[in-house]
Amino acid sequence: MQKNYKIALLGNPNAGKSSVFNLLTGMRQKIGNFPGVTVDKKLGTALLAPDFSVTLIDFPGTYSLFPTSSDERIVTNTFTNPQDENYPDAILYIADITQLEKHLLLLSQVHDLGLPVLLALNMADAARADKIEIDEKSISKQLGVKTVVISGRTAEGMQDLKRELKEICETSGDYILGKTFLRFSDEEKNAAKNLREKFSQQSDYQRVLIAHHYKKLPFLTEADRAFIEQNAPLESLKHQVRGTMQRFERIEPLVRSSVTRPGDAPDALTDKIDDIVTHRVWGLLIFFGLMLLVFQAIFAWATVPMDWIDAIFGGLTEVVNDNLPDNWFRSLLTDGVIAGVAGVLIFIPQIAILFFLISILEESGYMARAVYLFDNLMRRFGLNGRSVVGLVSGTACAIPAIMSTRTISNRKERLITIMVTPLISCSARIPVYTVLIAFVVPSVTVWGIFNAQGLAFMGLYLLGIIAALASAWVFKKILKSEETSFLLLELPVYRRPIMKNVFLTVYEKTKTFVIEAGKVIFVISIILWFLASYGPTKAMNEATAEAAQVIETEQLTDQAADNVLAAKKIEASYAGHLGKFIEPAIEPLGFDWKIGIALITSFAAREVFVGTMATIYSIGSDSDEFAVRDKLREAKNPKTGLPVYTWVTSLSLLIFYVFAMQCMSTLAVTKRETKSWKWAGIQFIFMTALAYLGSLFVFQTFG
Amino acid sequence: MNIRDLKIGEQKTVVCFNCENICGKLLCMGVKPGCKITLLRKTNFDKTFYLRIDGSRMAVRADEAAKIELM
Repeated sequence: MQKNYKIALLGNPNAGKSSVFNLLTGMRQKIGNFPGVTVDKKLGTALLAPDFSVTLIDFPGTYSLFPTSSDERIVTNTFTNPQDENYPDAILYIADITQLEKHLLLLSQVHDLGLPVLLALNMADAARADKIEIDEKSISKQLGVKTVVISGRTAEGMQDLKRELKEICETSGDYILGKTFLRFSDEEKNAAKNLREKFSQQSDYQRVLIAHHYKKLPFLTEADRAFIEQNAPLESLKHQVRGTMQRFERIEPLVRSSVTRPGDAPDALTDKIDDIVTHRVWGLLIFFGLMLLVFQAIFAWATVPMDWIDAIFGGLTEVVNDNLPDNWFRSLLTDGVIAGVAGVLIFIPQIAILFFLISILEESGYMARAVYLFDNLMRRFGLNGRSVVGLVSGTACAIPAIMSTRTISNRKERLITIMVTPLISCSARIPVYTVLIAFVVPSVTVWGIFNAQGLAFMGLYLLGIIAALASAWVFKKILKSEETSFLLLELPVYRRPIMKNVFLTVYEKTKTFVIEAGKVIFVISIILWFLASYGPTKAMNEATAEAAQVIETEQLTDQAADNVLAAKKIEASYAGHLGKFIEPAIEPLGFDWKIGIALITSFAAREVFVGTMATIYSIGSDSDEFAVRDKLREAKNPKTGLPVYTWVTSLSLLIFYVFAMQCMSTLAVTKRETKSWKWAGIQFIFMTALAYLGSLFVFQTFG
Repeated sequence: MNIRDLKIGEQKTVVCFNCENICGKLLCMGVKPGCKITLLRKTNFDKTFYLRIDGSRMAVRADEAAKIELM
C-alpha cells in the first residue's frame, strides 16, 4: 500500500489556487472543517499516476505567515505545529506569473518552514498574452525550489505538475532544508535556540514563528506561553517588517533577472472596463442592472424548474394516495416524507442559478469592484460591499442569499449579513401578503396610476429593508470583533470565467445544501406533520364524531365532508392544542387560536400559512389564495359575532410575517453557515421578538 | 503628503506608513516604500480610493489612504 501523502495547497488570494485544485481533484472533493473555526476546508483526492493518489488540502488564500484575519491564521496555526491533523508532507505553492514579486513573499516564508515545496508558476497563458517571458530554471535555481509552469485555465503543464508532485512526495521523507531564505537576526537566532528543546520537532523558522505568534497559537499550553514569554518573545512588528523587507530585497533582483516584461502598462483592457464599471454613476447603474438580472433569474426563471419539482412530487403523492390504504403510514409518507423531501429539493433551482451567476461575477473579477463601490455605504451598517449581493438575492429567497455570504472574509460583517438577510421580504411571503393585504387596503387607484394594494406591497418590502439595515446597525454596535476593520482589497485583472470552476461551485453549493440543511428541514417536516396529524386520542375521536354529525345533519358532499373532517381534526391535533395554548400570548396581537395553528405550521415555510388557513376553515387545502381570502372575510368571532379579520388584525398579521423567522430552511442554513445553533437561535429569537413587538404595536395602537 | 492629497491620475512614491497596524499587512501585499502609487479614481464623497500600485490595482478606504505617506 502506498503511503497516503498529504499535500497542502498554498498561495495568495487570486493566485488561481482553486482552478488548480479543481483540475487535480475534479469531482473527488469534500468539505471539512478546520479545527475551531468556521472556515470550510476543501479536501480532494488527486490521482498523480495510475497507482499513486494523494490528499490535497486547499488552505485559505493568504499573503504571509503573519496573519491579520482568522482565515489566514489557520495557515500559521497549521504550519507551526507538526502534530496538526492537516500538517502536510509537502506543499504545492501556486503563484501568479504576472504578479510574481508579490506572490514570492509567502513562498519564501513557506520555503523556510522546512517542508518540501513545489512552486507552480500559474497563468502561463495570461503571461504569454501580456508578452511576459519567464526563465523558470533561473527562478528554481535561485530559490532552491522545484518549479513548473502551468495554466489553471488551459490545463497546460498539468502532467509535469503531477510528475513533480509525485516525486516530491516520494522523497519527502529525506527532505532536508538547505539555507533559509531569511537571514535571522540575533534575537531570532536566540529565540530559535531557546525553543529548540521545547519544540524539538519544529524547524528553526517554525520556532521563530512560534515566538512571534505564541499569544494566538491554539496548540500551545499556558505553560508553553509563559515559557516563551520568559525566554524568547519576539516583538512582532519590528521583526516582521525587517524580515519582510529583507525577503523583498532578495526577491526583487531575482524577479528582475528571470522575468522580462514588455513595458510597465499592465493590462490596458482592465483599465478601460473599470473606467465604466467603477464610474461614480455608470458603475452604480451597471451594478443595479446586474442585480436586477440576478433577481429576475431567481425570482422568475427559477420558477420553471421549481414547478417541475412541484409537479413531480404532486404526482408522487397522488400515486401513493391511489395505491396505499388511508392510514397513518400513507399520511406519513405523503404529508411527512414526500413533503419534507420536496421542501428541500424545491430550493435547488434558485440555489443553482444564483451561484451560477455569482461565481461568474466572482471569477471574472467583478465582485471586487462591487465591494469597492459599496464598501462605504455598507460599512455604516456593519456590513460589507459584498453584502449587497446577499441582500438583493434575499428578495427571492434567503437560503441562497445566506449561502452567498461565504465570500465575505470579515467574520463580523459576514455574520451580520447572515443575521439580517431573512428580514428582506422573500418570495414565500408573497402568498401571505396577497391574502391579507386585501383586508387592509382597498383595491383602488391612487394618484391616478398606482394601485393602493400594489403600494402597500411595496411598503411591506421597504419595511423589511429598513428592518434589515436597522438590525444590522444594532448588531454592529453589539458584536465585538478582534479583527480591525480595514479595506486593502486587490482588484484583480478581468478574466474570462473558467466554466469548470463555475460548475463545480454550483455543484458543491447545491450538494451542501441538500445534505446539510436538508437533514434539518426533513426532520422538522416530520415533526410538523406529526403535530398537525395527531392529537390526544380522546380529542381526536371526539373530533371525528363531531365531524360525522355535521356531515350527516348538513348532508354534505364527499369533498365538503373531507374538508369538515380535516378542519375538526387539525383543531383536535397537537398543533391545534398548541394553537390554543399560545392564544393568550398572541391575543394582544389580535390573533385567535386558528391563526395560532397557522403560525405554528407555517414555521415549515411561510406559504404554508395559506394552506393551513384553508384546512382550518374547511375549504380544502388545495384552494387558492382568493378562496381563502373570501372564507376569512366571513369568519366571525363566536363570542362577539364581529368579523375576526378586521383590517387591524390583518395589518398586525402582515407586520408579523414581514419580521418573523417563519422558515425552518433558513434556520437550517444559518446553522450550517455559522456552524452553530447559537446564531440560528439568536436569529429566531430576535426576529420573532421584532415580529411580536411590531404586531403588538399595530394592534394596540389601531385596534 | 498622503494618498488623500493625490489628484486623479497623479503618481507618487511611497515613503513610509504612519500606522503600525496596517503596516505589516501592506508589506505582505507588496506595498512597500519605493512603490509607485497612482490614484486612478475615487468613489462618491471620496470615501474609497482606487489605486494602481506598481503593476497591480488595489482599493483602500480613506482611513487607510491617510496612513500611506508619499513623496
